[in-house]
Amino acid sequence: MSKAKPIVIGAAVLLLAGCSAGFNLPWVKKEGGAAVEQGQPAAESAEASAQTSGIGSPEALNAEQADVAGGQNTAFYFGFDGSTLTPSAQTALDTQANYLLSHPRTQARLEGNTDERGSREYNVALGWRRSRAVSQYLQQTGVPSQQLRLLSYGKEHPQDGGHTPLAWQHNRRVDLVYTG
Amino acid sequence: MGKLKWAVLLGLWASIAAHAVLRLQLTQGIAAATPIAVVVDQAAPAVLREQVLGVVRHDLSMSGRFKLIEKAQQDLQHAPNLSDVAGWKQQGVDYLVALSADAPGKASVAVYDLYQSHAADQARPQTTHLSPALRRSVTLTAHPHRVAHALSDQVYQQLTGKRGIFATHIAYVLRHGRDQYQLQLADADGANPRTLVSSLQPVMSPAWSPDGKRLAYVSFEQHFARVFVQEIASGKREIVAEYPGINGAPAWSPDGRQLAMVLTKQGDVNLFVLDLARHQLRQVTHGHVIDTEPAWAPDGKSIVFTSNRGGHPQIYQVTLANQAIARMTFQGNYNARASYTPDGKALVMLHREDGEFSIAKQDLETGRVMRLTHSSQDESPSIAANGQMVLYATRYRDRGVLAMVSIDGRIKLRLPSQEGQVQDPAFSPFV
Repeated sequence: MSKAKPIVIGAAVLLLAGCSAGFNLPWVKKEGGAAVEQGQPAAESAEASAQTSGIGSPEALNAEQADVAGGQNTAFYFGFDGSTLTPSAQTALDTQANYLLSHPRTQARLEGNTDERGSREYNVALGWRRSRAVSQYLQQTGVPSQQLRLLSYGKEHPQDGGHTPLAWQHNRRVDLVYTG
Repeated sequence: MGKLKWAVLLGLWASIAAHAVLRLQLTQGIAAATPIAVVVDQAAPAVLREQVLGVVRHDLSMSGRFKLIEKAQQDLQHAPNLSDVAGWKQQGVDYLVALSADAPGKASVAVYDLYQSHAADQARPQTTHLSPALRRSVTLTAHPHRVAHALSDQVYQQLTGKRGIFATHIAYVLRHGRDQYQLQLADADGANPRTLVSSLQPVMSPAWSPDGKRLAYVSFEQHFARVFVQEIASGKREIVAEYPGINGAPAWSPDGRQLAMVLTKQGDVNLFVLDLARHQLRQVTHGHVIDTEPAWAPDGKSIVFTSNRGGHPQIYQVTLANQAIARMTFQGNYNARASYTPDGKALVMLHREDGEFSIAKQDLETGRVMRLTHSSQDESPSIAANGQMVLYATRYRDRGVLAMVSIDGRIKLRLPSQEGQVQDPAFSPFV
C-alpha cells in the first residue's frame, strides 16, 4: 500500500483503559500542516451531494485542532446521504489498517454517524452503510473481519452540536474506536 | 470512575429526570370551538370537586375543540333547571357538562344540550329539570386522573361522535445532554411520567403492542443495537433481535403476534418479520438498498416502509403474501416514517419540501398530500388510537420538544419538557 503523500506520525500514545471500555488511539501530530487528509468535503447542498459524496476533512480541522481534540476518535467524513470513500480517506485508513494488521488481537468498532436531518431510523441505516464502507475497505487491505465490528448511531452521536451546514459536515462520519 | 460511583450518579439523575413533566400547551384551537361549561355538584366528594373537575376541564380545553366559558363555570347545588338555561345561553354556553356523584363510589357526568328542545320535557310541563343528552358513571377509584379521563372520553364522544384518547398514554425518549437517555411513559396529557429504561447509550423507536401491555424498543446498551420487548406492568424484558449490525425499527402486527423489524443479516438493510411465539424470522424485502421504518396496514396484509431503492427516501408498500412492492409517495424527494390512520384511508409521514421537514398526510384514495405542520424540523409522527391527532417531535426555542397536530391540521399543541430534550414519541392504543 504505497501512499501518494507520506503521513508522518509523531509519538502515538496508547491509552489503555481496560478491555471492557473502549480505548482510543489518538491521531497525533501531523507534519506539514495537513490534517487527517487533504480531500475537500463534498458540496454542502443536500441536493447536490449525492453524486460527489466522499470523505474529506472539514476545513476547520487542521493538524493542531486534531491534536487538541486529543484525537479521541479517528474520524472519516462523508457527504450528505452518501457512503463512498475518497482516495484521501482510503489513504488515512491505510494507516489504521497497518495498525490492525500488526495487532491481530485488537478489535475496532466502526461507528457510523449522520447529521441531524431527517428520520431517525433511516439515519441509523445511513450510518451503518458508512461504517460498512470503511469495514469493506479495511478488509480489502487484509484486515480480518473478526477484528472489525459495525455499529451505527445514526444521528444520536453528533461530534458537533450545532445546527449549521458546517456542523452537519462534522457529523457525517465514521468513528474508529479501538476496543480491548 | 468506579462502577459504584457511576451507578449512584445514574440513579441520581434518573430520579431527578423522572420528575421532568411534559406540559401540554394548546397553541392553536379551531376557530369555531364549541362553547361549553364544566361544573361540579357542590355536594360531590372533595376528590371530584378538587381533582377530577380540573383534569376534565384541562382535557376538554386541550382537545382544541371546546372553549370553556369561565364565567359560567360555578358550582351547582342541584341539577340544572330549565330556568337557568336562558342565563347560560346568554353567557354563550352551548353545552353544560355537569359532574356529580350519583351513587356512592361512583363519579358521574351529564351533558346537557342547551339548544335541544326535548319532547319529553315539553310533554311534562310541570318539570323544571333539563334532561341530559348523556349520563354516564364510572367507578370512583384511587386515581382521580383516570376517573377524569374516563369522564372526558364520554363527553368527547357525545359531542364529537369520535372516541376520546384522554385515557391513552404516550411513550417517548427523554434526553439529558448527549448521552443520558430515558425511555418514559406518561398519560396522553404528559402527566404521571415513569421511566422504563435508563441508559448512557441511545434508546429509540418505542412501539406499543396492540394490547398496550408491552413496548418494543431499540437499545444500544453495551454498544450493541438490540430490539427489546418489555412488559410494562412488570418491567420484565427480553431481547428479540441481536444480530450483527442493525436491529431496529420494531413494528407490531395488528394481532400482536409478529414484529416487523430492520436487520442487516444479509449485509443489506432490509425488512424482516419475526413470529414471536414460534421465534421464526422471515425476510420480506431484499436488495442492496436501505429499507427501514416498517408500519403495518390495519388489515395486517401489507407493510409500508421507507426505502431509497428509487434513489431518495420514499414510501413503499410490500404485500406479505407475495412480497410484491409498490411505491406510495411521488411528491417531494424525501418521504419517510409513514404509518396508516386506523381507518386505513391515509398515511401520515415525515415529508420534506424545500429543505424543510414537516408532517404530511396522504389520502390513499386521491393521492393528495397535505402538510399538517409548517415548521422545518419535525420528525417521528405517531397517530393516536382514534385517528384524530398526530404526536410528533420537533424543535422549539432550540430544544427538542413533542407536539401534536390534529389530522385536519387545525389544532396544534406543544409538550415541552421542563428539562432535557424529548424525542421519538409513540401514542398508545386504546387502553
